[in-house]
Amino acid sequence: MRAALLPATRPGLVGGGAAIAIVVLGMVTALNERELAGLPVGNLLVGLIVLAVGYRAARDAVGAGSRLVAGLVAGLTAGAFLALFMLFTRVPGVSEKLVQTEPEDTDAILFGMGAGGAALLAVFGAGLGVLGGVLASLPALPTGWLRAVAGSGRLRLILVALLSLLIVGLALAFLFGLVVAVVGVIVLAGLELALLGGALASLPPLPARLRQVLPKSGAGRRRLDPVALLTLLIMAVVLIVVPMAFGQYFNHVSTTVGIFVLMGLGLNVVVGYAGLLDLGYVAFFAIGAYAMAILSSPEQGIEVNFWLALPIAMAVSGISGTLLGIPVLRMRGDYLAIVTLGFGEIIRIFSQNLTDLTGGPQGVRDIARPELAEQEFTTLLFANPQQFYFYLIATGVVLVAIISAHLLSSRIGRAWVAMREDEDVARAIGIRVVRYKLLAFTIGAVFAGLGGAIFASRQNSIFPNDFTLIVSINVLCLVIIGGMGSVRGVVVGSVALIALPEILRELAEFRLVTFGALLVFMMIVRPQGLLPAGRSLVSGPASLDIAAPPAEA
Amino acid sequence: MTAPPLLEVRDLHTYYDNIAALRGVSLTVSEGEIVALIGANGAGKSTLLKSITGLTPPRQGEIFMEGRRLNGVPAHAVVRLGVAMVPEGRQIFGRLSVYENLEMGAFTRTDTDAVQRSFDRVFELFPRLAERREQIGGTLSGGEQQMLAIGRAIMAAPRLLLLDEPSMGLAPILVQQIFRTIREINREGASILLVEQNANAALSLANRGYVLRVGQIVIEDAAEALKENKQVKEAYLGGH
Repeated sequence: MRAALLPATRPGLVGGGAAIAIVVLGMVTALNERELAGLPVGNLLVGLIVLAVGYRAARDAVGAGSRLVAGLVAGLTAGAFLALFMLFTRVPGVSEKLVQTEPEDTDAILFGMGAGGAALLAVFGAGLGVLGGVLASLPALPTGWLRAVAGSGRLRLILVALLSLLIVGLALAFLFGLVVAVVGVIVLAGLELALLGGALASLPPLPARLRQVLPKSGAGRRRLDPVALLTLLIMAVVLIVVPMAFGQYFNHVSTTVGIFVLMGLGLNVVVGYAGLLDLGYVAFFAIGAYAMAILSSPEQGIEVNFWLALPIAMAVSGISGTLLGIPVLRMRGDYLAIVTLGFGEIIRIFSQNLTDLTGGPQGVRDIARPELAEQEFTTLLFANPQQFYFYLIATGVVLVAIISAHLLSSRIGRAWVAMREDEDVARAIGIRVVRYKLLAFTIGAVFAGLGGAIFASRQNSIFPNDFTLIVSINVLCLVIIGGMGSVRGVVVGSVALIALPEILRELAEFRLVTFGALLVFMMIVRPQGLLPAGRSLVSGPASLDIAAPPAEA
Repeated sequence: MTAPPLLEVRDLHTYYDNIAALRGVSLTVSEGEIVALIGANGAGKSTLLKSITGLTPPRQGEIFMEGRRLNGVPAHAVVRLGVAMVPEGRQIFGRLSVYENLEMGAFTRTDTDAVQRSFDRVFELFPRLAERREQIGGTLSGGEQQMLAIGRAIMAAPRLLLLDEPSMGLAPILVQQIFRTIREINREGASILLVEQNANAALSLANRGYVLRVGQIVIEDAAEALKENKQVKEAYLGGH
């Protein structure tokens, strides 16, 4: 038990350091303006860190007693470290240097009691650490249950059906009141029973994903998976209802998320599938946006209809992707990253200096909204333009997501994976590396171009400053955090990185710090991302009907 | 011999920048043959294979596959002409499963039924691979990785299989097993050019052999004769 004491101080010091960092940065002060269940969010965050520290320390210990002691030591260390630092800030002259924090707020962390408060803080830390230790000692029951559900098609089906009732019910209640909601839920429940009753009985207990990829000789066509079907149905309902249910602000945020999903899916093809690290990806977003702007704004005298400008913008972006691909074909890894970084900057500087075409720093204004007959149909059919863009982007995202998923399981996807894993071997097994590299750059650029074109139209006017390096970095971050090579990951990553900062406005100025911390944290704890691509990138283990030896269980 | 040999290499010169790796190499592999190419480290054995497959294009000389000139044909197209290589140090796709590795080997083929038969065949030749079908390539043992590398090459349905040091780093019993399989593959119709440092094993398997020394062929003979050749014995068979 004694051996566990010293190692446990280390996570304690790390956690204490993290807590000090967020205090010094002023994050605690900023977050304390909000309350969650009556508790100030900033203090809650500090508490959570200490709890995590206790959990982490306890996990490495063996035996229930040692776990609790390890949690205690770690929590005590973290609490004491933070308390000592807080006392230090009271040394005259120190607190003036901490420009991000107010002395009164830091005082509050010591419960406004000075040295006595410091002792109390350490004790608090110890308590939280022990709690973390208790958490670590709990049997891993919940995940086992989840896994059982995820592994059984039947359970999943029931779960999804119930969830759909809940969501649809809530949405209807929100929109049209309780009576409609009850009727709607009953109707939907009936439909689901009728639709899925048979499926329930015949469903093999194999996870759906495993059955999706049939061997290419595949005698039969892919059977429609009821779980997937129902999930799609729910998603469709949610996507249709949501923009009506919420206001303009929500729709603005969600369209921004959608635009980043489009870019993320494109970059995912380049980086995730083909393994080509592109740091200048914003270039294609910019090219799509400027193509839309120049074609449709009256400023250049072209004034093409939105629906015509959209495919042209995508094509222009795609061609620029191919063109960028040609000079960098021979480059790999770091070199490729640096050259693409430069390309991104070149496009931005072009947009700033080609004043005749792009308006320079003044940008392009009056970019077209989609029209129907003579009237903009954003105002004809929808409550506000944001609502229209929500549907447009949702459609785009769904299409692009389907295309990317299919690309990965296609021959093209296999070529990309081979290339990513080992370019020389890929060449040696007959893959035309040049062709597939260019294809990856082109497809990635087309997706970004689509995002850019819609972005330009939604913004109505665009400026060079919309296309800085930080956009590339954001997109790369969301792909990495979501899970490289994973379509679902990109969606989750976008929500996490684009929507959350928007919702947590208090954190807005800490965005970059949080980004950095999150990335480091993810790389250590979960390098594969939040929702990583399935282990099997090329084909599912479904192809088991090929000469399976009888011995195989 | 009336028909042209399956593979013919004539006076091949290959350079790495200004360093000559091959200095006028000529050899042939006939239909159905196993030909061993032995030589010390740095003799140019691997370079020769890479020159044939287009990975390091030769500066001078000619290569013919079934009478078709291979010079200037890019690496990816060489596979389509029926030449598959098992690279040195078994470069499998370490993060993909056994099954996926094999699938990649058949990338150039579109005849799905025949590909299926190739899968069957590989799993028959290497039951170990069938057992580990879903295992990640990088977690296989050295011998299994070599089997996988050979299996992947077979998936391309080659008429000529180029093997680069298949015995490297393997226990003698595994080497025996791998070599037996190579013979089996050969019986089924693929001709084989086998590059080896393990001259003894290679010459026991092969019909004919060449000895390569600093970029040149110094001896060429039937495998049995090479085994008895005094020079070869001293230089390459050593204490074996």
